[in-house]
Amino acid sequence: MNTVVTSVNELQPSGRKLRQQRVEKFIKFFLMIVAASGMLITTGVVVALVRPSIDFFRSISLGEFLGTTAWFPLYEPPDFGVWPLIIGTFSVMFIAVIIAVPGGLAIAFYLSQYASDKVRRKLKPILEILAGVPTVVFGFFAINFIGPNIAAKIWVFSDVGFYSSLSAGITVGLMIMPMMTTLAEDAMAAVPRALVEGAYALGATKRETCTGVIFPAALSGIIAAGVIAMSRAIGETTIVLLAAGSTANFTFDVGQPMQTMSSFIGFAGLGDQPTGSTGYQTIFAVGSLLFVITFILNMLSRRIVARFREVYE
Amino acid sequence: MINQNFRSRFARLIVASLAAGLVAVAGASPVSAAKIGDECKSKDLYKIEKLASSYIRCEIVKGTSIHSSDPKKKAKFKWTATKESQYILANAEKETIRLDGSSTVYPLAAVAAKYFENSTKSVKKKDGAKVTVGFSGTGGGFEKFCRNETDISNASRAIKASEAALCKAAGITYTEVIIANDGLAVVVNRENTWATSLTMKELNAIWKDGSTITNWKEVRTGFPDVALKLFGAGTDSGTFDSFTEFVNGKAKSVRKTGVQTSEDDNVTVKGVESDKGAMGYFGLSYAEENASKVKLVPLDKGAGAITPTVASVQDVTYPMARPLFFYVKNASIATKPAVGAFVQFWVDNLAQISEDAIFVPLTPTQIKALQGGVKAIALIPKVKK
Amino acid sequence: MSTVVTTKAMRADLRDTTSTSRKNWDKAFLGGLWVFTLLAIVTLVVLIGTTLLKGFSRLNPALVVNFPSPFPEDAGIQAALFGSIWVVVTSGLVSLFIALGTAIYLEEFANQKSRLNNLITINIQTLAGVPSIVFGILGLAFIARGWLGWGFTVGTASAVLTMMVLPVMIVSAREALKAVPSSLREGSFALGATRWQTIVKQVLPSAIPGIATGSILGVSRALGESAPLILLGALAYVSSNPSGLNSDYTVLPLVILKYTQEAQEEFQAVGAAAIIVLLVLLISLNMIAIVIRDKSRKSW
Repeated sequence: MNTVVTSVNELQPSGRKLRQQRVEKFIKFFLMIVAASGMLITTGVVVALVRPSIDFFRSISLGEFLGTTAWFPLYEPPDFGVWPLIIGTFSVMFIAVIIAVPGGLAIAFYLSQYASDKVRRKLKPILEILAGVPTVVFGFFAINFIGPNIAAKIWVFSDVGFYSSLSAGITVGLMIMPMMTTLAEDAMAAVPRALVEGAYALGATKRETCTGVIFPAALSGIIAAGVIAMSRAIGETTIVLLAAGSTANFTFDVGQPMQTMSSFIGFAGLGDQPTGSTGYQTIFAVGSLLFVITFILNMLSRRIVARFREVYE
Repeated sequence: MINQNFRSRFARLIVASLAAGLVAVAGASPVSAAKIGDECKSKDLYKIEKLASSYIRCEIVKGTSIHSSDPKKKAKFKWTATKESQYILANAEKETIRLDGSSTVYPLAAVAAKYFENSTKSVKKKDGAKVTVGFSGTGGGFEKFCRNETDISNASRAIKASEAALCKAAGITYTEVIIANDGLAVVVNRENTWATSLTMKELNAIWKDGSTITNWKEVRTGFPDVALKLFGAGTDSGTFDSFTEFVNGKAKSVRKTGVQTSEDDNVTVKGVESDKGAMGYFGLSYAEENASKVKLVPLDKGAGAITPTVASVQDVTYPMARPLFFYVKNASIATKPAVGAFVQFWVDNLAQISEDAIFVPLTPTQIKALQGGVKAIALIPKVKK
Repeated sequence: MSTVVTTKAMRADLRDTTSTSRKNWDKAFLGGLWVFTLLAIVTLVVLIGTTLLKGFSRLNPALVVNFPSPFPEDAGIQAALFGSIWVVVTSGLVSLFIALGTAIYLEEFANQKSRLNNLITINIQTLAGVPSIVFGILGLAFIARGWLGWGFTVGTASAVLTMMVLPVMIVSAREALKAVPSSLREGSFALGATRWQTIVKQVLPSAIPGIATGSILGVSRALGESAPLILLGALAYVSSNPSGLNSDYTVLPLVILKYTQEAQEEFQAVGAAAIIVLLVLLISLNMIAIVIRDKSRKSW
């Protein structure tokens, strides 16, 4: 009888292969450390924010912080109601997102389906340069150009001065748009060509392919891009500082100067508060609030992404 | 492929020639056999040389100014005889002297730094002293100062008790030096013909916490019915603190509505320029730079309307005159001789430095006090000739 | 005879049967795409145009040879230029290393559904939204002072900018790795390659375009940020270039901010010229990454 008996040991790797596997285990471990170091940063941010925030809330009640609507922490006598900042933040974010997300998607569609190679090669660098323009430059652009020529002209509900959250929102939107485009376009480029070509083969027009095939297939990447854009809009400091002024107006009128949470932190952080004073601690209190809000928004979007992922993959 | 090759070679060529150019320009300082009366260039200002037993320095010719638009008074520079003490100061060691603090004082400190560096580099070449100047704000500057991170702190106000306590707790002793005078100017639009002067009481009524004045006619009877648009300095600066203290009696106490605040004084200028009923305030240097765009308002504290000028700021007849300070760490003077040399250099050449930086200089009385105070901390380093 | 014979039925098949309404929507869609594309181009043109106009008079070698000065006539940006290069190159390299490591771990090694994976992803996304100034405060408390105590140096600035830029780089790197089709990996495994061999020889080369994109975005951001660096001791006046990670420094965005806030009118032109230099630097960095990306873009 010819039975083949293989002892288990013969199937185990040995020699070079074994060494390779050991090295790989080590690499995996090393990479895990690297990944975890990202967590270290977040921990650092939380720790840096929490201590002074606790000190702040010892002197100013949470009720006053979240319940009143005047924010003048650096004046005498100070007011600590944070709502003007929250409204300011969301005003700027909405305006920016309205411009950046559709805009980014539109340009991404154009680049991926409509543009010829020559045009693509010229357009992409233009977008990348726009994405890299420093925020101070955008800030000055907002004050010198967008504010007087665009924000003032299109806002019919009130008199728009030098500073307005509309001007800041438009500028932040323009700044984020290229980033959204690049990330969305990379997501679209990842859609398997078979899917796209199949759609064309079935007689779909470019538009129908874009909206019906590419968009849903690239959705997770697009949403990831959108979330980054949204986070960046919330966190943008310099442009808002230069374009929306430093008065925390409690108003929904975007033609008025407003302060966002980020621009307040920038403003107070760069300024003259002695460390340890309540004025200085407001930075950390607002920073903590910002962190919490961003965290919640991110969780929400992950839920949404997960839901879409199930349907299409 | 050829394209690729060409591009990278081209790029390398560009970088190489840029580098060569930089090196050439940096290294090629002509070695001059200068003598008294020879012309020198503005970039050589305060360079000093030893001639046998005497010393000469490139200085500006008296009567000319680097800021003058009059061609007759345009700056000229000549090698002038100078004292041995200046040469000794120029021998300062290659140490880094760190300054930080008020952005109002920054231009003055930067000019002093530049001239001092010119001086030491001409004597010690690459081993000359280095000075760095930051602009974290008066409060931010003190914080760094009391943490031993800077040697000198620039300030647009005197150190607060709480800040002094911080320094004391950290074991840092310092010397306060009044280095220049400054004024806060109130400005209005050029078409504002009615506000030829304002009293401090009226300013207070406009700017105080809780004020509801929105129109010029509410300020004084006889003023026209023009909407009042207020532009203020960033609420996080020494200028804001000083203004509110002068006008409302208490620092940071000011009306919360109806003011457009700006971090950038240039924007305040634009704002005041743009609206007939606008009013704003900022430091005197901005007011002078923009004299063609906005109108200065003389202020009256009871003794008549005073326009902010060098004279009225110096003798404090102008209601919003304030001194500018720097604070120097005593320990730095002991351990870093270059710091002492720098301070002494600044004091010795104060008049020219203040003029070149467009700051209101000290009065003779203040200068005497300054020289006495500085002498007391024994600054002139003991250096080999 | 070589005539092409088409029957009526064939011709009917070749007719364009797209309805007018579909065609109209197509036109409208394309119009919309054009609007936004032009918006982006026009913005850049206006931005650069207005800056060039303002700064043209000061665009000469003296700008780069001179150091920051309180006098507009001889104000330049040399220290800031080299400071920016030092800071950006250092933070770019470090963050690329960490971002790649993290992305490879998360995409290739870790269990996709694991809690750790989830946690790290949430972390990264939250960090992406933290305003830059908070990183400055963090850096001030823990890097410049506190634990590391590096003081106000190039090293501190690089560390803070690395933290700031990391989230975007990690997300792009992950998306780039996700985009590599699993068939590539599985084919490699089937041929007997180990995971790491697959990553290095198959996955990474295919993912280079996406990674290059992320690097461009990250490095550009690092180049343009000024707010956190003011807190970290970036100077207004400094007369020498950085000589190591331990040097005093300043960066271009900061001197731009300072120059444009000065009272004297002439400084505005210097500031505008400095912006042009910054943009040129940015474009050069972008070109390098673009070349890398174009050389390695694959499609399947």
